[in-house]
Amino acid sequence: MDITFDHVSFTYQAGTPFAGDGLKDVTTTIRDHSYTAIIGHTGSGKSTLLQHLNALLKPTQGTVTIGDLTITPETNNKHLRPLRQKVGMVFQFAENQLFEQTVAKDIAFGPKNFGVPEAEALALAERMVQLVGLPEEVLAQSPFDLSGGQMRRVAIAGVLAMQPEVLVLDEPTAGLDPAGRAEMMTMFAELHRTQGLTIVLVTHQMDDVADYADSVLVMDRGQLVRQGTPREVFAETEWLRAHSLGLPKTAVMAEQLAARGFQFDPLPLTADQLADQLLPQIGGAAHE
Amino acid sequence: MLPAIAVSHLNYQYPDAERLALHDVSFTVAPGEWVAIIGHNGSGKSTLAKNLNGLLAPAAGTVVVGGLTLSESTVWDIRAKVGIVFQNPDNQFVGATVADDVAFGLENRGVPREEMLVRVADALDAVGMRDFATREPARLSGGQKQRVAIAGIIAQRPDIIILDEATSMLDPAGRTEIVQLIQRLRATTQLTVLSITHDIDEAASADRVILLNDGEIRTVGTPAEIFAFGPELLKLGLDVPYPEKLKAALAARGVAMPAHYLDAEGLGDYLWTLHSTM
Amino acid sequence: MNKLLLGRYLPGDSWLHRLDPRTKLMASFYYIAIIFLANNWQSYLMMFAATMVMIAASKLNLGFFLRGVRPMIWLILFTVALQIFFTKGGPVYWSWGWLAVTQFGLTNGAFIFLRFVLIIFVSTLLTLTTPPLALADAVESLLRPLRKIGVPVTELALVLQIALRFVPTLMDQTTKIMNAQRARGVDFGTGNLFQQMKAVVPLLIPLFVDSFGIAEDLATAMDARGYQGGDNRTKYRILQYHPRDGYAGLAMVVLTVALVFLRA
Repeated sequence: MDITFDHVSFTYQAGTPFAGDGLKDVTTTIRDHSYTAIIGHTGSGKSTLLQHLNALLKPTQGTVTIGDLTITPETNNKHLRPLRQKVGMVFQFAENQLFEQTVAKDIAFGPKNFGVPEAEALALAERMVQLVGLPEEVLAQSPFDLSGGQMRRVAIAGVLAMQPEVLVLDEPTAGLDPAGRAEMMTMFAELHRTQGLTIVLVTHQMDDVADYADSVLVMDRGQLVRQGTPREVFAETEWLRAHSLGLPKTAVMAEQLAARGFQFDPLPLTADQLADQLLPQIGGAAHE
Repeated sequence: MLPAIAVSHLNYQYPDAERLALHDVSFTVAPGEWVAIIGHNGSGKSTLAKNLNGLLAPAAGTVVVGGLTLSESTVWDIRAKVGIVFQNPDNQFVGATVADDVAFGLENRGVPREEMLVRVADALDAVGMRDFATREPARLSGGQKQRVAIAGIIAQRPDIIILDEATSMLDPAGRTEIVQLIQRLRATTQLTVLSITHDIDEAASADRVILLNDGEIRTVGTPAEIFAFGPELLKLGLDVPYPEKLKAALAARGVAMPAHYLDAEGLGDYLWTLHSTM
Repeated sequence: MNKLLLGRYLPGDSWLHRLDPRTKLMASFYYIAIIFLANNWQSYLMMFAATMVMIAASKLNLGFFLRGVRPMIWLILFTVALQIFFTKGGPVYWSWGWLAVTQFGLTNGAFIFLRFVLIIFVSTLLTLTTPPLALADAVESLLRPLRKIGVPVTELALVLQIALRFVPTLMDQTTKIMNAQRARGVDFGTGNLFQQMKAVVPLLIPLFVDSFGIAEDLATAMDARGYQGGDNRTKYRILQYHPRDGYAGLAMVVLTVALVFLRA
């Protein structure tokens, strides 16, 4: 299922604290089965863009096409529910959305809203708990008795239980420790690989973009200012610096090494790629 | 010289918990020193911070802050010496405007109004937030909110500032903002800094690092000494600095790498030597 | 959330904006009280004119004030209708069984309508020109004498101040949780009453849980910053009367005298 933005603009009602954080003439396509990263500063319009992916917001101008459904400024809110099932949203600090008495019920909540019978929804909950790497015992527990990291996993399981085709992740690792972050990012990569989920990731971690994404959108003041593969986007080091957007650590290191006389082509984005390119230049393993 | 903080054989157990959250923790911090406490989530870092100014009462052991032993009778004096910046920038903002919030701690201590006006203005200057004095917290970015929280603390002129995962909810820009601010403050004042973090870059700015694991001190050392642990840091739920990652990737390819920690500069030097002797 | 006009402050630097909040609070209460003294066309007209002068002095758009009337309109029309149909006296224009529209009824209806509108205009004027925080200060300052009989005025004021400070934070949180639940298939504001009530649960529970978290964090932060309650605290923000507050008081006196002469 492709998601296409065609000249999409969005203005918040003037006078709200969010004014200015809208969208200006955004045109792009998020391809089926892709892993797309969206980067940009706080307030650059990233969250506004996200909320258009499942029509929580409708464009003020232009159209958003999600699969076979076209959202225009005039679209009636009543027809949007099937869409919400297809595009699962994991918001920032998703653990805040938990409310049921048990983990199982909370995970089953989404599917039930989309008409899945209770027994089936609870069966889904059992599968999803495993998928997000939690022990089966938690199903009967109250979500509020779990640790913060576990609660986040329950919330993610609740979204996955809707069996969406697209999984939207808004800074899913914020507040987690490095081990928790790494585990979670690996989990999403697995879901992308094994379940064929399209993934849209909003992040400030350029290393995650380099490690996982195959396509990058850069937002700035409501506009889509760059799009391409990570390698294309990160190749513009000067431009990224000028917009203080940061670079993957590998790209920074490669830059420093290049200043000494090392040569890299193409620009390495992960430690492994950098090591591979360095090997022949330092005499390889045979150096001893 | 009297240590800024001296903790000896500190134990702490949460009510209803089965095991100790902190076990036999001892360390000292010298005045003016910046010490980072790192460890995975749930390793006891924040519990430790709350034991230092009596927000939690130690089950055993002693905490001495600036020569005062923490007890019920000294707790308010110690809180005057120790300021804490907490994790969530929103949930520690008491005042309805920036200036009000900075003044809150001063009001609590009965500082006369004339002096308050001066101290609030000075503190806001120090964190670069003077133009925001009459703004409401809801209109500030996370980094700005934490700067206001820091202003609220330095207005009280404490000896010690504790950053309790103060940067963990901020975006990279906000994080840099806070680390640079602390570095600037340290250059101009005698502030002792204790930063509780799992951000490896924040830890790298410290003079010393205490590595906490499951409520116990695993080791204490300079950032370079700690970072040389490499893969073991990953096992403890922490990150390693980038040069260590590259070292590991090269070592996996059979390149001989030095065991001690190299920063980006050092690693570049080392690689260039290999290149030149090829 | 944008429709919420009550308690919304519109920054400005008009004469009314600069009045001491205590003056504004007291004058508003006083003004609302003397509106009830008006009892004929002349006195109502004068009060209407005075209100218009105050609105002009605030330099705010009249539209804001009219919008303040809107949420109350059904209550107003209902009360006015009661007056029109049930007040007897004077020539009868229309009647049906025990219902009758009389001249007295119509006049009284118009007066009631005006009274409602004036009261809404004045309270809107107060909140539009006074930041909530300043109002809280004013309440604290005016209630301070009650401390002598053991009312914890300073604590109450702090509670009020913190509540005001957390309104935007909680609004923000509400929007976020609503979005998250909508994404999980909840429809807010559709279906029958039972369905709508059911839809509120996934919103309210997370909001409560979150509020307790905030309260706990805030209590810890206040503790750490040396808050012990009591009256030994000093105040950063203080209120000061200016000559203009005297003029405002004087205007109220003049208005009262005129009203007494004009009323029947």
